[in-house]
Amino acid sequence: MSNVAIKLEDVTMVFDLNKENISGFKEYIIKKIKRQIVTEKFHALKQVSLTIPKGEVVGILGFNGAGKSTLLKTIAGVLMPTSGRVESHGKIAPLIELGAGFDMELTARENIYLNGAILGYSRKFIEAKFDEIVDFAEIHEFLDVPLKNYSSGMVARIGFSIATVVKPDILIVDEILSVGDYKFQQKCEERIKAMISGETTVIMVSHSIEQIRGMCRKAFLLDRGTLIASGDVEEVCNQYMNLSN
Amino acid sequence: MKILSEIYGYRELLFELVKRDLKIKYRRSSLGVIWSVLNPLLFMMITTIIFSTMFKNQIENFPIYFLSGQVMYAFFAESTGMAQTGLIDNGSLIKKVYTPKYIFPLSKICFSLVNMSFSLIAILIIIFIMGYNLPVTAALFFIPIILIFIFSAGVGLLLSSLTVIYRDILHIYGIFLSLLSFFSATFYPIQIIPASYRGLVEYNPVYVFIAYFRELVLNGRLPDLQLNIVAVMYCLVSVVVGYKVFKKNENKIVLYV
Repeated sequence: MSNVAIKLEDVTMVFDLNKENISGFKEYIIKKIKRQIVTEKFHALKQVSLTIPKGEVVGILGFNGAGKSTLLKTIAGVLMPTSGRVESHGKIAPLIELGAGFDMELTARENIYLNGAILGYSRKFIEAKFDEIVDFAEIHEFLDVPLKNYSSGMVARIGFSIATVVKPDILIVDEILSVGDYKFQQKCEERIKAMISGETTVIMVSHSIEQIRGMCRKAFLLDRGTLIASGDVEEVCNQYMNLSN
Repeated sequence: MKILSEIYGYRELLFELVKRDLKIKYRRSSLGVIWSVLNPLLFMMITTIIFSTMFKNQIENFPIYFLSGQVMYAFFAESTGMAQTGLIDNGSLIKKVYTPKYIFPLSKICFSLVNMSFSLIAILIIIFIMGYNLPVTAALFFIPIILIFIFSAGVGLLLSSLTVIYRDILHIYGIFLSLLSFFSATFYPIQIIPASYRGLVEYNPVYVFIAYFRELVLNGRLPDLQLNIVAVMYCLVSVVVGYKVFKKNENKIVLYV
């Protein structure tokens, strides 16, 4: 195997905007007869090609709606691209939204097992790592409290703690380091940095240029679905700033 | 076959999802899981008393006749009804983490199976109270249950993937289910249906599984070849069609949930 972690070839993601409005046969038939169905296509990604080598830490920059999250979701396998190919080597830990799949009615303890299963860890594994997860999230006293009584910051802590309990080959981080208090943010950054030194490939999206500069070596810049720049993080960040002006 | 080993690989997730549903169902009730047996027990007692006076003379051991039909129909209705919204309910998860999507409707079918086993315990209690002697063939009761489980899994896959895209099905299916209950001969003898319409009941898949169950538990006979073939055919068709439709829509699901 090569030392490529992720490879995208001409990835295009098209959403049909009208799909959102029609949610039934009746509406569909009526609109079809009235010829009101205008298929407005929205190209969230336009022929994006990129290669990320193993162990690289890359940031993805761009304005809201530039396609950053869509790009991460295609890499994570949540979205299938309309055309093009996505290739990834290794186990992916997607931190697209912390605590996705948590059930607010269940306690933290139950959610750790449920979420672990969703991420593909065995029950035995979670049992072995349970203390470590709880220690990192610092939720000892509240283990048996239903999650609905937690603050969003605490929910995010558990989510981060579970998702990063194994060293993944590829870590996808989408704007999540902005949750939690200052202390916890630092802790998360430390953990990600520890992973980086352990050869994990990291792809992160953040609106904080400081964070991207501080953690990444390379960056990609997206503008309305098109990849307009890639390369050294300083250069791309500068380009991003100029784009803003 | 590949799909079966994949499902096996995700058995822990399936197990956790079923456990979640069970926990949420009984959270904060002091009797907790006892309700699982108590609820069907009380429901069965009431309906049995009501219907017993109606068809007492036409059906021997009416409570068992009624309950065996009821438990099979209830499983089908509950499992497919829950599987139908299985994808929609887990929408936030599907959008953020990759998991094979069929796990969600499938977990609902398994959840209903657990519920059904509680109902079966309730039936056993009633049988015990009535002093009814179960025939030897009743030991094979699990065969029709496995069959209806497979059949429901296929229907659940079909419904869940289509319902995500066309929400109308959610409402249509509710009406369809109540119609189905009248065509499943749960509380009446099939002979009261005029011969020309009887086929509607006889070829209703749910009735086929009910008949299979009754042959074993009530009549003390092994189901004949024809019943076996029909039942297995329904399972095969359901699973193949359900799986194919699901696979066809699989990549679109995330756009609609």
